[in-house]
Amino acid sequence: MNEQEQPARDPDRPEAPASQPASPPSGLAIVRRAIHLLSEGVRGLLISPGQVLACVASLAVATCLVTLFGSFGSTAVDMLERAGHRARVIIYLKERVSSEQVSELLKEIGKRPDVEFANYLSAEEDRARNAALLPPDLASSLPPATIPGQHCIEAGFGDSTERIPDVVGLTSFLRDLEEVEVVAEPPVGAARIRAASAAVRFGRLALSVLAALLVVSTLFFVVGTLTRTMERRREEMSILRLIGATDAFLKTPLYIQGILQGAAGVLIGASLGRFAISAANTWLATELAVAISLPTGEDMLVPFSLLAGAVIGTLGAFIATSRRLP
Amino acid sequence: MPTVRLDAVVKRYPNGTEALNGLSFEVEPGEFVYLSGPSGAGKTTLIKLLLRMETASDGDILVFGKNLRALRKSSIPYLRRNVGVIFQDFRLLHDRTVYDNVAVGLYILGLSRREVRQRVEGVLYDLGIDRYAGAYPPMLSGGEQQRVAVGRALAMQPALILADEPTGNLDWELSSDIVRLFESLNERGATVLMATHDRFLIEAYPKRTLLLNKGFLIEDQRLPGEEIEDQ
Repeated sequence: MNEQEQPARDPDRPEAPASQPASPPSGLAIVRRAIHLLSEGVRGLLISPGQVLACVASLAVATCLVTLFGSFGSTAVDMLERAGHRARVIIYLKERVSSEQVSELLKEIGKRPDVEFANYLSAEEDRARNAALLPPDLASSLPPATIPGQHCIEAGFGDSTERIPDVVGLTSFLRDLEEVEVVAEPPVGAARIRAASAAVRFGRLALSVLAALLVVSTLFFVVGTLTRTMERRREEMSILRLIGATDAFLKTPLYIQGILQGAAGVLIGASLGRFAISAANTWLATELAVAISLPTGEDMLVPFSLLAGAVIGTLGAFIATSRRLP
Repeated sequence: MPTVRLDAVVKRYPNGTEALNGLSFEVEPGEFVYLSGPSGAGKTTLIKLLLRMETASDGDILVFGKNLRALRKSSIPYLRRNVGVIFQDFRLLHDRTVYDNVAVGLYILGLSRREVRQRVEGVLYDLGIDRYAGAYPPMLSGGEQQRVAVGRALAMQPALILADEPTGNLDWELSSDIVRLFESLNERGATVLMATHDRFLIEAYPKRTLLLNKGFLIEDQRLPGEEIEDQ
């Protein structure tokens, strides 16, 4: 309106700024609008508080389970794999076996793909190895001659070996050789460790898929909550549209609401998971001398949770607003 | 440049109903024009077309010189920010205070809190409803609610005001108040296009009247002075 044509102002009338902002928004206007939209997003959380709480709770439970599955699964697989890879097979040789025959044997064993190394140990070296396995005070009290020692070959499956070691195949092969007196199997059964490791790995995969499905299902909680907000604000949104609100103006509070819900749910869930792992570690450290670690690490838990929650919230808001925005 | 210009506008719905048939007229800046006619004449359809809530099946509609047919979807909000719209059913936000109802459009414009407060308080004072700033619409009478709706449109300082049967739910006295309010806005330079079927109101506050019937422009009744000006 033309200000010059306005009648003389009433002195009691509050002074209003005459200027109308131009269509392209200024930087300051964008900031003001962002603050307003943020408050509208928070207001959206209060429209259906029960549904929002249910959504946050379901996200928290899903995230807690994912954290636990990930942490326990990773630790179990890691422990079993390390145990499996550290397995050793000791091939005790007959006294009369010559150094040439030993070299041939080493070549033969070294050809097997699952064997990473094969070392010859003299009788003295074997005795020293055996002594090192004993508690130090016992080893020092025993006369050296009483500790057994026999020339042998030590074959091992190193950490870099990808294949599951065929311990049974290796021992059967070695027992048939004329030069071999005894084949000492791994003390804890490498084959069984490997089998258990494979089973745990499969279990971890299955549980991770299950947990991922759980997280995806919580996405629908986010969509449901935002859809409910849109239904409750349908009239308001259609009015805002009529007076000049852009799509972004209508959608942004919904995105903010989704991100806040998602971040809160994931952060709570991850924190619960960390608390459970911390409690479990207290017991595990004393009983089994092991510790469970978080998949993300301690430092990255909060940023990773916020990011994951924001992604879930954004996806939920995208789905909801794409389908239902008035 | 006319504020509103229609050129052979046709609005045809998918079921074959023709709500508007070849409508052509112009509204100059600063004019106060009634859109009149019985129910089903096409008044509301015309308002919807001017707000780009719907698009014309044929013909051109120019608002502030911009052809609405060629207007991109992303530009529609910017058009609407310059058009104040008032409905018969007020369309207020019942869970927000009177102050917030008037302020809602200003947040879209990105005004500061201080600017919003100054503008809203000024508008509420002008409309005589400043004492209801903290009240909620359901606590107000029909006339007061319509004033809030007018305030929401006014706060945006629009160059064009579209009112769709704004007095439809009001008694004679309140209807007169609303028309006088529009007159004062018009005196300040706003172009007003008001749809009404109330012949008594038009006779009491005579203005240029576009008489519609079954989608046709039957008559463009101008005031005697305006006819002289045109000649």
